[in-house]
Formats: sequence, C-alpha cells, structure tokens
Amino acid sequence: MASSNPRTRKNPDSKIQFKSTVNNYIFYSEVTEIYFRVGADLNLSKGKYYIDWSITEVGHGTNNTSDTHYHQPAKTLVEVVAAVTGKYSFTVEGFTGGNTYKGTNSPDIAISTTNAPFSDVTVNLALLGGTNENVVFEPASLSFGSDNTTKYF
Amino acid sequence: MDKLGVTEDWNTDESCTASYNHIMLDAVAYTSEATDKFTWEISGVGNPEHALTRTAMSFWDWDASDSSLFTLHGAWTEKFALFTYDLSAKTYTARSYGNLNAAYVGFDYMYDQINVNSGNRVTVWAGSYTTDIAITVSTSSMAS
Repeated sequence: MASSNPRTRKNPDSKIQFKSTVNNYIFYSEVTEIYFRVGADLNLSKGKYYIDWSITEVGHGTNNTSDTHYHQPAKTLVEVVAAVTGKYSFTVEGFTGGNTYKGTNSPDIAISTTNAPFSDVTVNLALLGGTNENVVFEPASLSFGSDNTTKYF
Repeated sequence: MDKLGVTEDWNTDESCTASYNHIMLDAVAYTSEATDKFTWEISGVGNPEHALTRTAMSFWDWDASDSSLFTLHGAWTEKFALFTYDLSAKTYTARSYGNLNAAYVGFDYMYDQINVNSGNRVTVWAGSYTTDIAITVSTSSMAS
C-alpha cells in the first residue's frame, strides 16, 4: 500500500486489525479509560497509517434522548515498522528449578509474551537431549493467537 | 461599514454560532452593498494540543491540501476564508484573501475530548499486536 498509493483511505487488505477485548470500545457509566490494541500483518509494508474515529453516544435522562458530550478522538497515527526477528520473546514463568516427582504432574507452567502475535504462533515443547517416553508434556505444543499472551502446560 | 457610514456590528458571542470550523454571523436583516467593508477580529486564539510534524517525503506529504488525509477538521491549517450566503438567491459567495492568516481556533473543544494514547502515535511491529493502548476521557458519562 505504502509504495503504490500512500494516500488511500482503505485499510490495506485488512492487514491492520484492531481489538478491544474487554469492553469492545464502549465507555460504560463511570468509566474514564478503556483499551484497545493494534495489530499489523507480518507482510504489511512499513508506513504511516491513520485511524479514523467516530463515536456514538447513547441517550440518557428522562426522555432518553441522545446528546453530545464528547468529541471523537483526533486521528491516530499508526506507524508500522517492518518485522524484526526476535523483537518479542517468550518467557517461562515459575517452576524454574522445581521438582516433579515420579508418577505426578507438575503444576501448570506458564509461557508468556508481552505482545500477542498477529496470526498464530506455535510453541513446541520437547525434552532437551532427546525424547524420553517417561516424560510427557501436556499439551505438547502451545498455540498463541492474537488474543493470547499467556498459555500454560 | 456600509455606504452610509454606519457600522453594523455582529461582533458578539451572542450572535455568533460556531460549529466544526465555521463561525456564522446571523445577518438576516442586512442587505449587502458593494462598497461594504468587513473588519474581522478573532481573539483568544490558542495553540493546538497536538500537531503533526511535517517531514515531507518524495511520495508523501502532510500538507493541508491533502484532502484524503485531512478531511473534516483539516481546515484549520488553511487560511481563514470569508463566505457570504444570500438567503434570497440561496447562493454562497467566497473569496480568498491573501492577507488573512491561518490559526487554530479549537472550536471542537466545546465537548470533552476523547484521547487515544495521549495523542501520541502508535507503533506496531509487523506480525504482532501492540500492548493495550488507553482511550481516555477526563469526565465519565452517565450513560455509555
């Protein structure tokens, strides 16, 4: 997009996605802060993009008429940076040096990352030094989707 | 001032309405005359809270004339323009005045502004999502 027609107002092949998982972009009563995330496809070329915002206010009061109290956000500049190998990493949380006794399972061990991937990333679990039929990982692989920053095995 | 030397003054808040980037002076009873002169004074012009740095590239500029990037509220980066509307003929007349200045008038701040990421740009690496970005208001509403 950025090279051929940098001024288009179209989302380039839906390669930029938005998620507001908790409240779905809605300010409920007595809320002053909500959150969203921006995701960029791995193949999206670097460039600067704008988010156009619009708002809808739900009416209140005795006659339930809608009224304007807020102005929509100004356009948000999104700077897409080309993919970098190893930009984010996965971290194993807890259980470092912990013991798992024969015939039992370990507690759930977390693998986490700060930023969710745009499309699924699979983490495969294997025993260092080769497989051993007496040591089993459940599940044997963890798939991180766009809503996942922590998974357990 | 009209041709009879009488000053007709609408220069008060009561007779002006502002919406988007327009100020309207209601002058229904006024008949425009060819020799009339308009004196236009705007006070209390402030600085915008946020702005874009203009780093022009060969393929991309952020000029105010770029109507695909700057649409409804982009007009403040341009110079003031005077429009008259003839109620009986239902025609607009506009003229560019080279000596009019550009300024940010901030009319849209009559409502509570919703801020995204404190007005800063969002940086996202291709292939990933950002962490949570805050959308904030300074006052909470009674309804959603």
